[in-house]
Amino acid sequence: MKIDDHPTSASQPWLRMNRWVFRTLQVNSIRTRLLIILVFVVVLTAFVISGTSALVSYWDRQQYVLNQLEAVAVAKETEIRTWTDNLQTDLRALLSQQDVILRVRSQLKFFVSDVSRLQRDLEEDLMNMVNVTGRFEEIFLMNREGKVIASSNLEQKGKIFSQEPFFQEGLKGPYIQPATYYPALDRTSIIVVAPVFDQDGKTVLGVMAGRANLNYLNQIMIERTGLGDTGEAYLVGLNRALLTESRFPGYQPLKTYIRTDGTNKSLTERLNDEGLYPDYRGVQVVGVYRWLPQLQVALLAEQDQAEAFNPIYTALIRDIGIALGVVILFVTIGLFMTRNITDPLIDLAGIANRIAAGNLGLVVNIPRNDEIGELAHAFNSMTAQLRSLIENLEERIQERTQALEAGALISRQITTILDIDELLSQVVNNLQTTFNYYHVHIYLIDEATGELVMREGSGEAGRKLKAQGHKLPRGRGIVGTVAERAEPFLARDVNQIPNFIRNPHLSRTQAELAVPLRKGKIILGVLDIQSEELGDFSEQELTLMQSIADQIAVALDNARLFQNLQAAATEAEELTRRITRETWQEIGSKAETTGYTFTKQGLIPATNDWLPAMDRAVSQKSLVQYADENGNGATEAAASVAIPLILRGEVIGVIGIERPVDRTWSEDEMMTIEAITEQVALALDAARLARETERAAWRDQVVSESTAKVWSSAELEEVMRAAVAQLGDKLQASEVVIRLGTETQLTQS
Amino acid sequence: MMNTRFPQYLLIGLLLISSLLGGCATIQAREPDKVTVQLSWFHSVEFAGFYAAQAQGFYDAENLEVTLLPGAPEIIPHQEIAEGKVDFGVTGGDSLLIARSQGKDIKAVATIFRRSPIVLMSLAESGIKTPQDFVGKRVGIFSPAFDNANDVQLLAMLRRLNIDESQVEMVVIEEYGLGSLTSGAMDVYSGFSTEEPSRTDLENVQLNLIYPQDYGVQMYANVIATRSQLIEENPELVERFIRATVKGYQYALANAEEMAELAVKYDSNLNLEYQRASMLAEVAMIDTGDVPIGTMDEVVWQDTQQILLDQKFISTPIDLSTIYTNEFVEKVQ
Repeated sequence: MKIDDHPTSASQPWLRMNRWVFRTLQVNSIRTRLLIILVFVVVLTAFVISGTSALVSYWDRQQYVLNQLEAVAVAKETEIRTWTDNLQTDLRALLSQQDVILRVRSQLKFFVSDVSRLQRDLEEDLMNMVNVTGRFEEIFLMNREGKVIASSNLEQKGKIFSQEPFFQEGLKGPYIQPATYYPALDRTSIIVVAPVFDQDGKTVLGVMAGRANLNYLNQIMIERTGLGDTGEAYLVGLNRALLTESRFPGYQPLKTYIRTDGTNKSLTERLNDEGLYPDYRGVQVVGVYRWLPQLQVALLAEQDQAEAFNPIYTALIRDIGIALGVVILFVTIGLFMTRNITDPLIDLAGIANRIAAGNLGLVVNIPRNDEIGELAHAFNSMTAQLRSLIENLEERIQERTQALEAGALISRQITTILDIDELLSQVVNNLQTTFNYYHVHIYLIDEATGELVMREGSGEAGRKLKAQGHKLPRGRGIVGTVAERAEPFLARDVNQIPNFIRNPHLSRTQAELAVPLRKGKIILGVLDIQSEELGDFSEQELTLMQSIADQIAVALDNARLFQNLQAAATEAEELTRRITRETWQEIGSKAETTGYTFTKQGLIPATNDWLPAMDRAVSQKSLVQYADENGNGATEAAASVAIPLILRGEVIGVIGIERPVDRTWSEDEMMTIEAITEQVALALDAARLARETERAAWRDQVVSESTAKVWSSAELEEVMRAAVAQLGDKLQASEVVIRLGTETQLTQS
Repeated sequence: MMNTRFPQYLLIGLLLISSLLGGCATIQAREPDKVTVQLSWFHSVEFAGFYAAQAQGFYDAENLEVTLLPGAPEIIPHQEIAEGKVDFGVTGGDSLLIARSQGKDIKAVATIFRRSPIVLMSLAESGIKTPQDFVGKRVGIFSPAFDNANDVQLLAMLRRLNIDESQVEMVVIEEYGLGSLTSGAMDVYSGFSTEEPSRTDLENVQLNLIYPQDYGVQMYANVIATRSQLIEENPELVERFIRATVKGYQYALANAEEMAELAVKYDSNLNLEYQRASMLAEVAMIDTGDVPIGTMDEVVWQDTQQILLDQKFISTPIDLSTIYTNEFVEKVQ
């Protein structure tokens, strides 16, 4: 994970940036990502197209404006050159006029007088030239000393310009003095000069000069054709002073110094060039500048960039507008597109969440033929499979629970029912009904024959087979095989089992499950289950049935043990009773006194006393009340009660109690009688045991002594006497009779 | 990782910046060269370029600490320069030539006014329009010995025009200003075009002006001079000083309206309005438009020398190349 978080490879900066962008924008959804990518692509495209277009049109426009300015500048330069050429031509023309040159030469060579006719004619010639051409303010003639000997402006006559460059240069040849300030005139002028030669054409006699007005230059420069609203053309002298008028207020010629890229390059480097730079106002301009060597000035044609590039800005705004429109359009389309893609996915995710929450019945409905449709289809079939799997699982759990419950019920029955027949009957019937089997039956191995005897079967078929005493030899059929091999057997299709024997009573059997009833290594029998359904019975069922079979086996074994135990107990009891009976028979027949009667007269041995109720008490082995003949109901008339003395189930005597008729027996009295009777029986037995012990000892000593003597011993009699006396006393009976003897003896008497 | 590294970058950045600052500090730490300038007269806009160079920091940019010493009647600038009391000074071209002829070490490196401001004024109603009209008129002079620049040029002009000096009545000027004309003390008053004529509007007079230069007489009124020894020993210092001063004058020309107030800062006794008018008049004298400002013309020096020879101020011609040089002015444009 650490490696993923901090990719060390520098070859994936794009991915890193991508991730950074997505993380920064907290982009989590596919939709937002798709949208961002779309917007990015569209914006990039729009940016590239409009950017390129803007750049190209900017460049084109710049070239166009520069070309236009260049054309204007060239036109103006040409105009200026024509003007300066004209100035020089005018001077030449003046000097080429035969009469003028004659006057000039003669005045230069032989200056006669200021007021001579020649002088006047010459001055007229100069004035005419000024008036005819209109290009000069003044035309004047200087002699070799620089002194003005004639001028169209009479006031200038007599001045000496020997120091002035135009004179110095004029002696050498035609020359144009750049715009220069002259204090006397208080103005800046351009002076064109030409030497005046003598007839030999070599000797310089003087200099003819024309002072030109800068106004004409102004007019040339003010003409703004092709310069737009903000454009201007102007001249700047070497000193950087503006020579012509500015179209902007506050900038006067000769007082405004202009040091811009344009003037610097044209005036110092003397170049013709173009560029973008701030002008003297500080406003960004597109400018073309030319160096005019004749006049030693720079000609600048400039236009504000704001105006020059305005069409570009307009186009750019239009382009941006279009680009924005396209972006908005594409974003809108993108929104729909991404929605079209992501909405089904969002639905799918929502439904998946609800399915995850347990709502398995949901189905995605996306009727599309694309990948998303396929996904939805696959999703639906996955959900369906999941649903069926879960339902199947629940069913199986239910089945399993049912089986376990049935198994538990049967187990409970097995442990609670002791009777083997009832147990087996219950088991087969319960198995059959609970699991809805076709038939269930149990075979037990007959220990004598080794055959498999059908002990219990469910339903009608079971009853019939049991009645027939259906049996199978070991090793035959499925049941026989299971008994033989002591292994369970499962046949999901009995028709494919070679040794299957179809029972005529069970014709619909299709599948059969048989498990051995085992007790250790001993096979007790077989639990056999049959089904009408082909392929029925699972491994789990087999396990369950084997478990039930094991429990049955245990129960069978328990039942057998119990039966044995019970038989032994019965035998022991029978023996005890027989001994008691025989003992007391012997006492009854051999004792001297076998009864006593308690009457008001006293206690006497009773050999013949008998109360009628005593018969019944002996035969019934329970307390009997006897009703007098004169009595109406049993209770009211009851006068006597008889109760047998019972020891270990055997009657050893009987007690009868008689009372006067007017007395009834209460419940308490009855219970007292019963309690006393029990004690009497026990006391009698204890007395007998004591006598027997005595007798045994005696027999050892005196072998010949008769037993009769022994039985005449006093202990029994004492008990009898005490009993009747007590009863008679306590119950205020008129007569109490006790008689000893077995049932047989007593009933015979 | 970036976060832990950030302080290191910061540290390196700080070290770089501090080392750069340290480097600057060492450059800054170089002591500026002290330069003293002896002006030719009291403070006025005539020296606007020096003021502008100080105010605009042009001297600072050249690492110069410039002290401007105002002139006075008793101070002779060329002496101060030649004796090495100051590094530079402003003096007249004629004075310089005379001093040079006396063997003093002095050389002009630039001129302030390219045109001589000397002008001869007369009231418009006097009808005096040309020097020829001086005949029979009273013309003001400063000294009977004609050893003042104005007087020298007046005399030179009259001689150039072959006007008989004896026919002109020379009157010593006792009252400076146009009062000498309006009072009737004289018909022609000699002065500077940058002074009285610039104030005609203010004083409500109309003048006729006669410039000696229009008659072939011209001398430089105020050249910037130094010792040729300094030029040889430390041409770089001269160049720096001239560069800053020329820039100062360029600034003064382009911003002429500001200069009067600046000049008043140097001398509070100056009349602001007069200074303003003077400055506007000076612009065209300083910048004639045909060549860079400060440039001196050989022909002017030649004429000056010739005049001085004619008037016997000097006896023999001097090699003009020892008088002046344009090399610094040309370098600094």
